[in-house]
Amino acid sequence: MKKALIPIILFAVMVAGLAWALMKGDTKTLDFAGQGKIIPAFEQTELFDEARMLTEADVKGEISIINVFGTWCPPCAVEHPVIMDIAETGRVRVIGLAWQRNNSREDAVRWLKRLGDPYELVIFVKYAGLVSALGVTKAPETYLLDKSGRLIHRHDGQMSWQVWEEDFLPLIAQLESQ
Amino acid sequence: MLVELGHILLIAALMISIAQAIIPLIGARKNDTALMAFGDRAALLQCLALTGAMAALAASFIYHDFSVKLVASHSDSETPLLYRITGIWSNHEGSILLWVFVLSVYGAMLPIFGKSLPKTLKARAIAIQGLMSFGFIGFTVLTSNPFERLIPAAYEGAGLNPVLQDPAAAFHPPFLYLGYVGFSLSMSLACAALLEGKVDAMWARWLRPWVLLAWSFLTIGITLGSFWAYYELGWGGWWMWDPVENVSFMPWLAATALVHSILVLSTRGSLPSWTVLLAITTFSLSLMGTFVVRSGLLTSVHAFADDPARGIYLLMILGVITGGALLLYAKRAKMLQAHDRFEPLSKSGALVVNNLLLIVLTATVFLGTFYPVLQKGVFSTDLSIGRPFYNITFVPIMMTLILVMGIGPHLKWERDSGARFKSLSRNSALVLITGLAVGFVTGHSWLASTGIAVGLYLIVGTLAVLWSRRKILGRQTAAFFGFVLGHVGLGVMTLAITLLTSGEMDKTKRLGLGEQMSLAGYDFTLTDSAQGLRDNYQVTSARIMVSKGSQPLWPLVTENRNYPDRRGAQGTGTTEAGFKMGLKDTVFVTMSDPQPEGVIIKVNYHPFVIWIWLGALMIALGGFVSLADRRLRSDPKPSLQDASRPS
Repeated sequence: MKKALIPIILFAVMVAGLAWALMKGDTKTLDFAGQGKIIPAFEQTELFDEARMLTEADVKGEISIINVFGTWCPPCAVEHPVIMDIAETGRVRVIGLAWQRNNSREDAVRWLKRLGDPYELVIFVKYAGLVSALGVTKAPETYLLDKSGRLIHRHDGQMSWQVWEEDFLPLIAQLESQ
Repeated sequence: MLVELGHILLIAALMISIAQAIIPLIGARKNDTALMAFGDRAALLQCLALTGAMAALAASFIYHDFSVKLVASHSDSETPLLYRITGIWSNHEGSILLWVFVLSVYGAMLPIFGKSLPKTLKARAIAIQGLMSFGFIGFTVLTSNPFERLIPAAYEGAGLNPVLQDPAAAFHPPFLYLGYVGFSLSMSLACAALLEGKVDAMWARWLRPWVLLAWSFLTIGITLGSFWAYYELGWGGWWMWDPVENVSFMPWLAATALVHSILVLSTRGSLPSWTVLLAITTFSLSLMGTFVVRSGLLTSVHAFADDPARGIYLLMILGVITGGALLLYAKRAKMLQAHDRFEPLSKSGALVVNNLLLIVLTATVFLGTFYPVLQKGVFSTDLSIGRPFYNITFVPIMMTLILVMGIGPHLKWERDSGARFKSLSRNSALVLITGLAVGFVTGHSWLASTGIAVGLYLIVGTLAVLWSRRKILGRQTAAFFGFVLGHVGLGVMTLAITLLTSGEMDKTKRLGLGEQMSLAGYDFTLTDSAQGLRDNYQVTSARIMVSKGSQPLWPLVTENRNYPDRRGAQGTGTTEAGFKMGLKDTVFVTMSDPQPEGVIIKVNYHPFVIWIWLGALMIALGGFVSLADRRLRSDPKPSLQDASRPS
């Protein structure tokens, strides 16, 4: 009987682990490294205009979301219509962060031209740079910033309208009333 | 009205499944024929009810009933008929309805094809199918009702995500479900057999065709997904080790071990414990897959439902079904006696090694998929596990398995000689070294040459078994030819993956009309670019003429499609790459929107990529061919081995 108990014990441990991971609450709003901090100083080129430099000043001044995407990232393509919808509401400024890694600037330009461009500006990063400074580990990720550039919230993974309504809008309403 | 009828049928199916879960179980315990027969009728009735429910939802989609929330959110008046139908399962609620429908269809197979099963075994299996149905239909009714109305009805639907308006993407879910939901039979029969206290060759013989059928469908389903990702996403990837890909791959790996284990059990009477555990594990992994995709625990392309509440319900179902099965196993394991002895150095021994390696592979993928969840939960750190991890873990273990696959089928079933093994090993080494040489001579790196060597080795080793029986081919079983096809298919895949990975190339350039670029010996000339309107999207296209030297070969068309959304705003888009898929070379081109200065064109060169899917389809075909085996018929003649064995 002893050996035969191993499978059920292993299984029970696994289920307990998964249950705990689920219960631990929002798998999407886990504290992230920079939460509550002002966005660090950075200097990156704009995607469409290589000569134009963007800095942290460009993302301050208005409540904004920064949507991290990459052309190598399939879920980014799938979530893109939602980002388009969010931009259309005009509620916040929508900024893109094109994290291209081993793909090119051209790839990102083309990607946006065919999928649609909801962004007021797009920060272009190959590796590291702002992506490291923010603590981005995967795409897509969407950050919410207040007027002073403070990182309020991060959604990890694909955006959905439900997440926008349930997670982002309440926070945005709060920020607007301040 | 039709939709409400569908809803009622769904609830009826729920009620039937409760009765189906309880009454035949009582009947089996009391050996009451009438109560057991009830189970047969319940299973059939449940299937009928769910067929009706599916039909109701299908009709709503086909006839544009925008008063149904699902139809309004996943189709519009311009959606072509094919995608109105496949739109049924392009979302969480519809796909879970499809899930329970397929579950009930497989459940109905027990009364229809199970006449040769002992009545108590059949009744118990039907009861367990009923229990599983109860859990899932309950989940559907309580949390994921596909029949919800939209009041007031929408004037126009929201349309189907353009990324899904494609044949391969559209049929990928049904094939997957026909696959991993089919393993529900292996779960219910395994539990029933444990309850009976008997796991023997007859049980295995009944289950085997269902496992083969489900496994073959799953192979096709996964292949479709890979093929779709390749040409639709337009960047040439065919496997990303995405969590959702992995959760369909794990049941496949476990099911492959099950297919082989059940072969041994049905013909030799050995490995009953392995087979039962694998039967339970395979379906549990299918359940895990369902849970993971819909719970929000892992995000990926397929994250349907980002809903922890749904996740908890599904986890409970998983816990009850698998937990129950494993508890049953713990209690009854000592009753499972093997009827056959074999030496390690034998075909049976090789199959045990095969099982072990497949389980290690499954565990590896499991670790890679779920470790980030653990990291996040325990340490609140983000971790991303991708190709590099699997390259150093999965690939070497897979190669080891292939080495075993080359020699194993040559060995005798129960015991083979050391001398014969030495000579087989010597021949294998020769083939491998030849393969390596071929690789180096054709200019490949040592890593690629290893892949080539291993792929060739598997093909040669399998064909060698075929060759050794060339004089008695007429007497070989269908299962034998299935084995040849399946193993050669894997060898082909290995070769294709190696050659593709080491040989792929791409290049990007802006071309004006008439200008050209070159890659891999081909020239690509832009001959035309245009814009227009078609079906439910706007399109910009470019025509590229591919030529070799001065010889024009293929005109390719690549498009960018824009599907305007319901608000008339700039909508979502997809790229349709211009493909020329060849048996040797595949080239494809993608474009950016045309500018006065020209169009930016990207060309990709992928050698042998098509063989990855052809190889996979060969494997699936091997499964289907094995089904033709006469030994798997419902009333097989007892074989000589069974006759001489004590029952």
